[in-house]
Amino acid sequence: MFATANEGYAAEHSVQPAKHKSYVRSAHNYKVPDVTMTTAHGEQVNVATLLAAEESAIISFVFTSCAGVCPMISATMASATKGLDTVDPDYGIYLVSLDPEYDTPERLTSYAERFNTGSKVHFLTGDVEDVRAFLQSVDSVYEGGNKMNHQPITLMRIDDSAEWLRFDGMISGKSIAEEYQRAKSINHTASIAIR
Amino acid sequence: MLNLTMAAVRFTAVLLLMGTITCLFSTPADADNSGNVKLGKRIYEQGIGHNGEPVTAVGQGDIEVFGSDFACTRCHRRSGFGASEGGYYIPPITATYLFEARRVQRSDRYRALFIDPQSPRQSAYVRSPRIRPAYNLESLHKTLATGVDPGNNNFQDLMPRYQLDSTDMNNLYAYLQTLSAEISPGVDARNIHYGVVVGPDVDPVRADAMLVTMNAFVTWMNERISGDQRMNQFFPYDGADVRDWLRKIELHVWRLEGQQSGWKKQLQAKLQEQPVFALVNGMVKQSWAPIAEFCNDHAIPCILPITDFPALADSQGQYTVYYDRGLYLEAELMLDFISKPYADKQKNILLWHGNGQTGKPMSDYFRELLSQQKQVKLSKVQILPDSDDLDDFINANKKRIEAADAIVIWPDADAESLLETLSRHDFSDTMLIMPQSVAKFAQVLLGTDIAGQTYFTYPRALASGYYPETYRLQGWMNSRGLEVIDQRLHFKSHYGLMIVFDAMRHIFNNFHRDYFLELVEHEVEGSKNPGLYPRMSLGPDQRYLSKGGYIVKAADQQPDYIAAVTDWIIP
Ligand code: HEC
Repeated sequence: MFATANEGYAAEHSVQPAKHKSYVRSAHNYKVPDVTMTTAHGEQVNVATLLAAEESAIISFVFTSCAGVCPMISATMASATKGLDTVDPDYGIYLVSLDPEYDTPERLTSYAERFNTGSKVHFLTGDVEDVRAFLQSVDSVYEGGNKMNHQPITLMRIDDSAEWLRFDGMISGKSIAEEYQRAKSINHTASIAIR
Repeated sequence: MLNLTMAAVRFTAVLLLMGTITCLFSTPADADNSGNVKLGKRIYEQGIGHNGEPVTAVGQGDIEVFGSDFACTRCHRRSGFGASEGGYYIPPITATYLFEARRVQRSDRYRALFIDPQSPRQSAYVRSPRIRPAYNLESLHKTLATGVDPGNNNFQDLMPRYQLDSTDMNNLYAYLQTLSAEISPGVDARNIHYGVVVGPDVDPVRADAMLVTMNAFVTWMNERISGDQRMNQFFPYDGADVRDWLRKIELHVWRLEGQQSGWKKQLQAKLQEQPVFALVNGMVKQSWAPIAEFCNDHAIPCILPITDFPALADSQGQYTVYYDRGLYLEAELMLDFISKPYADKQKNILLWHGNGQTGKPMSDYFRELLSQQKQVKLSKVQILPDSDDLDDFINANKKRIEAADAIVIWPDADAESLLETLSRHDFSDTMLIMPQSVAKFAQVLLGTDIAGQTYFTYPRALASGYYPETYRLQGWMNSRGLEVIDQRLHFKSHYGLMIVFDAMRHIFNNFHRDYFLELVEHEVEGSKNPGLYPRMSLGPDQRYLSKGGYIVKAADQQPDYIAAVTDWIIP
């Protein structure tokens, strides 16, 4: 496991990430939980199966009544899709609700419309315990049991053999696409596992 | 002669002084245009500019954001006091903060430091407050566009860069100069005043139980507060500024009389006589709607009333925070439970209701719910007769009962004898479903033929759940010699005040009602749950602390003689 500020690798790769440290990157062996959650369309899905079916997956956590940070994350994800599509359109973005009791499928649907998140961004809600299990599995349980203390994180997995890259902090849409490209190129050219 | 000269000198001095004041508060740019506060508020709260178009901004370095989701209020909140969210400290931008130079002021830092656990990023920010001069129109315009404040500090990416034209900027500036500029009424040098509403036809025993518990809480808290206030007189240095913000709690019981239509007037008169900062708890038999309206009209937070009929409204701009959606929630749970099994099969139901204060409105609401869906069809609505005539009524409806999939029953009172009567009859395999108020008597059903087909909604924690806070509260009540008539009622009376007190601990000297409401939204999730609901949480602009319920059935050897047949359902 390692953690560097994102400027740390700027020298080794041609892609230039944002200038200042708005996020920190690390890599982990996370195992997403075998739980059933509900999509914004009201469908029941097994999270592990769902993610395994995606070539690449990106995950973040939000809740619809969250004041400022989540709208920014949601808008960022929507904006990231353009860049991600150019790199390789074979991916899915999952935004998991931190407030599943309030975030019903109906609320999530209208939230998705508000942010115009498009067809690549999917929302998941469900049982409070399952969301907690999800957070635990990716080492992101927030402090004080209060969702208002959640920290912005983004997780990215390039294929089903790879580990999860984790970005702590607010990451821009551009940086997400850059990280995606970087991880893909490392993966393809040298198949060096990031450790 | 001498006198005249002196007068002239004095006059000139006044003029000079006035000149200085004008200079302080005006800049060349706003000399020709004083902004429109109303339009400024619209930018702040909805992100809409003077031309009716959403204002645009650039967020997170590179994305264009606009409209209400990125209006200032989303982050800095309606009060302007900001928030602590997602590990970010969003600073206050009220008039007092913006238009004064930022110094290292103890109260701000205390406030920020005490907001819940913090990320390293956030505490670093708070511990090293940046120094900057007061904003003026020009510097604020520049700061919003560039993300660099007049002290030359760069903002974090989370604060968007706004492209405002000069009209919008003038308007926003005018609004910011009014934002939480004055503290709210209901607070004086030593006391903070709260109102407790008691409706005209509530059970006096229950109203007393609420008030006695509240008074015990207030006595307990005030003893601690006056200790601290006294200490200030003798040791004015150590932490004195913090203790100086403590206010003793004073409760004012507002008893309403007569018809609901007259309540608002009565409330206004009471408010005029004794301004209160907020309403806490309170109890009415009918709808809370007139009180909720009064609270909205006067922007008075109204925290956790004990009511079966909350005012159902879009949560934005509502000043009442409720425990749950009351009987409306139970109606939705019923419908959910009836329609779920074999979802593609249409169900036929009978609706039996009392014709009084509960049965009538709930029958209306249930029919409204039915009209919005197709899975459940209403065969017949019937008014429940008096208990003496109930046997005949059931016998006369045998055919209808057999043909129905379910009977939804909303009684007014006498739930126990209702259950007794029902249990003497054969309901074929038709399901009976009733609200939680009837479940209290579930024991009556034990061993009867209908026990297996009778269900109740149960929008609260099960007695079998484990909540350590229950024991602490029981101890608290015992040690105060409180006579317990309904533990849940006492617990609610205590909880409402506790949340208010928790919010006040974080408000310090910023006695603003909007800010208080935002703090309440924040405090609930981390609060100690005495077993009122399985979970209690709120979020920005959320107004119901619990969102779902169980369906239960009579069961032997269970606490309260009920057992859940479903998980917690959010209808
Ligand atoms: C998405 C969240 C967000 C939104 C929306 C937002 N802000 Fe901010 N604002 C912040 C954050 C975070 C900071 C702290 C920046 C820093 O100091 O690094 C901030 C800082 C500020 C400051 C500096 C305060 C000081 O004491 O110097 C001002 C002024 C301000 N915001 C005004 C506004 C106005 C006006 C709007 C609406 C037009 C707005 N903000 C919308 C998040 C937001």
